[in-house]
Amino acid sequence: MANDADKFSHLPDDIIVLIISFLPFIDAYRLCLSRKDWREKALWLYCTCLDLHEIHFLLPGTRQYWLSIGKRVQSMEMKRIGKIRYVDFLNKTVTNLASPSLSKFSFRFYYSSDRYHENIDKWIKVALSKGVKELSIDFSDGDPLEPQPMLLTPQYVLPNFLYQDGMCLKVLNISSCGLGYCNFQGFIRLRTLTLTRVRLFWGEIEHMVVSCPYLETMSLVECYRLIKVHISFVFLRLKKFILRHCEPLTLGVELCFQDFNISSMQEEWCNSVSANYLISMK
Amino acid sequence: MAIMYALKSSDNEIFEVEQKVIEQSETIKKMIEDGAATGEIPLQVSSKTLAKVLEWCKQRQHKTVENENDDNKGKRKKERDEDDDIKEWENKFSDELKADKDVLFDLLLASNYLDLPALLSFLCQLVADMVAGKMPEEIRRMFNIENDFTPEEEKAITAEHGWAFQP
Repeated sequence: MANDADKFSHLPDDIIVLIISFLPFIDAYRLCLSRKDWREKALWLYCTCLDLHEIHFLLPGTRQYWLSIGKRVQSMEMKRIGKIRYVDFLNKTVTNLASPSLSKFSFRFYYSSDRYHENIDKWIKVALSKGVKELSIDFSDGDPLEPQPMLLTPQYVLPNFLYQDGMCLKVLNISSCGLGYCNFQGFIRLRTLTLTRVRLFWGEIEHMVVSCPYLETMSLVECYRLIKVHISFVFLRLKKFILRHCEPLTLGVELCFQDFNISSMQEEWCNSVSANYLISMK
Repeated sequence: MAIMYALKSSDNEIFEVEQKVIEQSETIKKMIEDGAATGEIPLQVSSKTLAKVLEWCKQRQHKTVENENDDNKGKRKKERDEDDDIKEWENKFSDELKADKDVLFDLLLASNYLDLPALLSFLCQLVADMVAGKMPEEIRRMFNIENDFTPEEEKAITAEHGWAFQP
């Protein structure tokens, strides 16, 4: 380059803010750490895609498997500290978020006590008030080496206001928590719904499909209490219905096409709907 | 016959441009409407940058005109071909800018000044793509950003925000 001048850092702040609005959170944050001025002004708070997981805050080595007990205790302690720092940082960020709207809000951390209940409620509330389009709520651990046990009684239950104020949501991913109120009628723009490790009855699933007029893709992964699958006519509205590792599905899948010629209907089903069934029957 | 306007760059070079092309810029449109644009329109943009801006505007103009002339028959296929053409052109445009970051930042400032929202978002997205996945140190090196942290401050940040430095 002929000219060595640092033109980037002399751009006006509103252009930097615009660039930041195109970046996922971690990249926006790193960009702001490259210059004192940007860091002091906390420009990363203009990020519109807040995607931050607990794992970012764990020191390297925390998730290694140690033979020595001392090392294992140490790594548990590091996990604990990582969690505190994660919740603290996310709290500060969400409270001070400067961008008027959010395209995506995704958090993931292992949750086994109700210590942070109010914090999580607040995060979700802020995200909804900024018209978030993609919301991912994940309380699973995701440790590939030593996964934490799956909790049969979820510690966190989704708040009622999520169902009432979720009209902007297009994508909703929920993992490892209770559904609570479970009224999907407010999700008028929802297109993609993924439920992972959630206790579900078939009636609730049917209600979700009936309630969301624009729902295209529905995935149920590792959901439990799902004893029977009963595909009725309303499911034809979906483009994709994925059922994976849901135990115990011992009674199998029933496809019901009322008042229709089953063979022609099935053909149509195969043509127009890419149904993806992978049901483990143990 | 298209109305032509003369734009004068900050280094006194004259560019003759069709009205339709230049009206994409809200700033210039306003200048024309206010009647401030009899004769040459003086702009605070260097000729090198202005040439790039006009390159972009002409490409955009081309696209909108062709879309207007389309009839519905076979439109989809045509549109798809066109989209490919535009993509190719945009790729070439952004490759040039990536190679010469000086021009890139001048262009960013110019698009802000001339109020060209489409170009501004395109460039911001381009910079965002360049920044994505890089560590603060790499970003500094790539854009020649001066490191204005003292070593002590830098140490404190690394200690407090070590997580942000992990790949």
